Amino acid sequence: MSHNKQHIILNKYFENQINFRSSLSFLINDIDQNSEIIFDFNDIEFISRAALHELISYLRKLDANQIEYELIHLNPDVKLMLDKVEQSMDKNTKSNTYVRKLHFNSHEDLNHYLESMEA
Amino acid sequence: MRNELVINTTTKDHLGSQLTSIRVFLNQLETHIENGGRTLNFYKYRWSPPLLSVFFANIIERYTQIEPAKINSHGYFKYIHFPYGLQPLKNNNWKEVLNTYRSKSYIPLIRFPNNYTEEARGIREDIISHTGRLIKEISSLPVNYINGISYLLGELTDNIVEHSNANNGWISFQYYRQKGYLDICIGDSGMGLLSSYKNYSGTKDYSHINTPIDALKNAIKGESTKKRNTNERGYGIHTSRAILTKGFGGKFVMFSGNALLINDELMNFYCNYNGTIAFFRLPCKVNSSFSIYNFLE
Repeated sequence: MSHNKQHIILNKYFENQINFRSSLSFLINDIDQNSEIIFDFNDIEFISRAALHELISYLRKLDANQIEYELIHLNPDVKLMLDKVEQSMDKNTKSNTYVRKLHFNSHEDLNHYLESMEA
Repeated sequence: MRNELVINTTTKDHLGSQLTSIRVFLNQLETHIENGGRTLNFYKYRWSPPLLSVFFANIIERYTQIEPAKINSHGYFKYIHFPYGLQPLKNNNWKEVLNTYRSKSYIPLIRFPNNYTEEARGIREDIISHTGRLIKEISSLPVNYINGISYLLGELTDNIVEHSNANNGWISFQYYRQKGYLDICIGDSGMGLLSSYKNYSGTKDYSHINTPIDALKNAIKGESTKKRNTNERGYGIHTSRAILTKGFGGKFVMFSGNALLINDELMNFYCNYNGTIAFFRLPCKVNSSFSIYNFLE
């Protein structure tokens, strides 16, 4: 394997946040996988869960193909988010989501409910 | 036959009143279209909070056969770019325009492109980042809150991009300084949640999802319609709701088709909206111990 390194400086592509899965997917598609990859998070203050999911899925493919990579200059919030998303991807269980169904007999009953809401 | 429908919405910021206005309007619109109506008359429409701005922008975008009329194009509506929105694809100076809102209590209605071209992707990213930064400057909220808001903005706009099949998404924001809360609304006039499940072609079985209410319930539960990564659970809406209602003590509203969700209560909206709208009302009384990481599973 070549010892060349690709240095992906994320703030060249993003302002200070990475919000969309598709943006990261687009970036990843252009990466040459024949050399070590460095993802540089300098100045990235926030990365969404969806974008991180895309990134971690990609990193796992690199692991499987024994391609080396590094994540550098991660700010603590981004690192925490990355750890959380990675943990959740390994979990098979999920917490229950509570939804209560309300039944109104008429438009008027619904109106009354809506108008009596706080704020 | 009346050829125009007069918009007569609430002038209150009360959330329930705004939702009632939307429900009444949608039922009137259905009849109006059936009767061959061609015009929406906005002469009584004097105030456009985020929920109503995004809603009417989507209505006007979707029903191209209907002309909006008598929108006051000066003053307030001009500043908030109602109803066509600030359109970064058409306005290269959009960042400069947005920056002029730093000292205001709102940002203009923004229309963001929803396709997968390189240009659209870049603009979309910049819009959400810029919006987050402006909300931070306008509201002076601390970083832990801004992270929560960024999470909400990112996840809900990502849902529009991934699932709506709409050409555009819309976003609007208003800070009610004296009342101590802020409103954010994100929406689209796309295919709606039910069609997203009906059109799903992955490995999961969603044949039991047959109504918009089923669809909204499953969306909240995280039943994802992403074609890629088919084992992934969708956390976007589920976690956003938890952050907003449990973390911020705010209100989370989502509607699509005839389904309406307010926090954890799901109901028949008694009207039909083609598309999906998400709305957040966030109290700005700061809880210094709040952290989004407590809500991420």
